Amino acid sequence: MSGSRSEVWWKAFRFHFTSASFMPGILGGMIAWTADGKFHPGYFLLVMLGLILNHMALNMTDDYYDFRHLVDVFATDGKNPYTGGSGLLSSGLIHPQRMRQVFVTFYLIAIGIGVFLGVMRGPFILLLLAVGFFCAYFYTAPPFDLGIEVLANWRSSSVLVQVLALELILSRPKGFPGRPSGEPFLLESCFSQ
Amino acid sequence: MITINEIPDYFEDRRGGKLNLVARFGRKTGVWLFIASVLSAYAAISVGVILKRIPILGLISLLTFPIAYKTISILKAYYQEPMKMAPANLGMICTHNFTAILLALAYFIEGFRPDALIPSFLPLVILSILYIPVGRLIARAVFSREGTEAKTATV
Repeated sequence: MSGSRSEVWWKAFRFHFTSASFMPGILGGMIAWTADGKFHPGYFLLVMLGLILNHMALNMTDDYYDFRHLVDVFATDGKNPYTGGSGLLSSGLIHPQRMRQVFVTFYLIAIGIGVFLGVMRGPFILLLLAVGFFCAYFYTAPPFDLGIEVLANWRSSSVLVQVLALELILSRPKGFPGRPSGEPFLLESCFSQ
Repeated sequence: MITINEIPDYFEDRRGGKLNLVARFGRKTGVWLFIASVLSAYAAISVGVILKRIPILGLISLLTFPIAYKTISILKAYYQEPMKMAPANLGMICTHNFTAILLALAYFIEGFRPDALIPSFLPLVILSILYIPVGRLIARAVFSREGTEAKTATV
């Protein structure tokens, strides 16, 4: 891949927004260690990879369906640089189907990580990750289009449940059904996007 | 963060039928929703410390409150002008990121054990690596803004 192509894709990933996912994830890992004295480096790294892939896929899903809903088309000149989509689809730099293939691949890897962690750490993790994936994908995707309905900010829920899952993965034994301390909920209320 | 990011997209979102909370209830409501969200984040940290759910050192994360305050001030003044409110969007990114980093530092200090270096250091190392691209972007945005302001002041 040429330098300019990789730059275009890097822009499409909108990595700078993934801090909303990886920072709470890192905090979840730190809380697991500080509060419970339990930390599994391998699971931690896997979860971080899953969170980042899921968030980058979410960014591209948002771009893709905004383009299809013609939201990007209405973008005006002098646009605020910190908001809106990447504009790569409307400018023709990436073909929509190609972007779709990439974000579907990212979701599949993230789901694979989630299934693996669910098998290793208990089914409750799977439930949380399923809710996280649902909120991430259907924020703009049909048939639910959560971002187009009044419950627009459900995307935050995807981060919330993923981080909750992270702490459970890192700190609780296999099959543990819940967590009594409530710390992840509290932290997520502070930092979810 | 998502609320403040939806405010400049108000017209595009409405025209595209993307009726999120801001597009549905208006930008002014969005401003108040944003203020309530930011204040509740700081309140959650304070309550967490009082209830001993968060280490007392976690209070260092409240040091970002002046950035949040400035962000709110800019937003209240310019919420109807997408370009002029851009510093508020940047301010929110800084507030979010720096609050999380300071809280992570608090947990690092609290959880550091010399006999367990991997659990103590790994999250912080990963944070440092992942934050490089984000930090560069923020630094570029902040410094280019300061440069522009200085130029304007000189003229």
